[in-house]
Amino acid sequence: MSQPNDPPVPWWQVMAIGRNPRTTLVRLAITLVLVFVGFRMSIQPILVQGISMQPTYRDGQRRFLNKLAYRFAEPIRGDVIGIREAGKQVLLLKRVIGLPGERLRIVQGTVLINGEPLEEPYLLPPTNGVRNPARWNVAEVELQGDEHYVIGDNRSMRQDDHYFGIASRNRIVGRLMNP
Amino acid sequence: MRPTARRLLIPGVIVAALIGLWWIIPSEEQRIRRVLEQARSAVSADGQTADGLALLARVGRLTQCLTRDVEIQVDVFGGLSGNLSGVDEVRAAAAGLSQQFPGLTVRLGEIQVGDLDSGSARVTLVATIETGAKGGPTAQEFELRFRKWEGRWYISKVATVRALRTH
Repeated sequence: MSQPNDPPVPWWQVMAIGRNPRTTLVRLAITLVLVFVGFRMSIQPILVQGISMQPTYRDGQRRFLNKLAYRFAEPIRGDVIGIREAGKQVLLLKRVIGLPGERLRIVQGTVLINGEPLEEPYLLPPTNGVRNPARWNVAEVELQGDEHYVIGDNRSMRQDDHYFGIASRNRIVGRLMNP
Repeated sequence: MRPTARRLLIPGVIVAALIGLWWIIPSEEQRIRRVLEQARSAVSADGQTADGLALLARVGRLTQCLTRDVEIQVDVFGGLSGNLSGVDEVRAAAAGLSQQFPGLTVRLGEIQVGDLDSGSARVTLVATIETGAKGGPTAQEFELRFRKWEGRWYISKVATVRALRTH
């Protein structure tokens, strides 16, 4: 602590490191630790790999996942989510199209939820003569209480090459932050 | 000896003895992890050659970790897939795999031991597999069942865990 007879601290030093450099250092360390822990708990940086979410997300793009998004809420239709694929680091990036309790099927590329066609504005019009969505067919499935149906935005690829299906709630890590 | 040092000597010896006991008498989870490491090192080439005797030794080390009726259901992106039943099938497949992928490297991470009781346990882990062929490493989650027999843990089932249920 400074005494009355101590020489005054220059203003530039106060601006840069505060009146007491040691206290400033401790505060800075605590702040950095809190920011680091908070960042690790709430945000996960991801690198998009593969073509299944094209054209919305392209191979090589960097994005952030909000890991707190579903702490107090449930995923809703249209959310782009991260699903634990292998451990904590390898995630699948997919879009939610079916919610728990719903009946879902795909007929000639059109998604039917409880028999009603689903509007999917994120799918692009036909490109290179290939219709997006292509004429995929999936038999009807009824989703259980903790199940969400997820799929990529690239429906112009072959159905067999596209990994999609039912994700359990406990494998959903978070929602993409910057869609 | 100084009085302070003398006072600290006995607690120090007790702590050292406890740490020593911890090393000498591993917990059940540590035993399971050791079996996993033995299986991993037997599957993974880790720079070792895949010639006759060395290959036999590695396959032997692997089968020491398995129950006779072991079931393996593997489906890894990139081509490693198949259902095996019984230790003989696994032995043959392991030998074939080592010759097909001489540079096969396996690393294990995020190992979680659960449902541990006196005779069985469930383990989930992430294996990072490099075949040495084209393409980078593949990470795959596995679920393993362990069974204890005559005081030793053995792997009784291995299955890949898929993130999505397709139908």
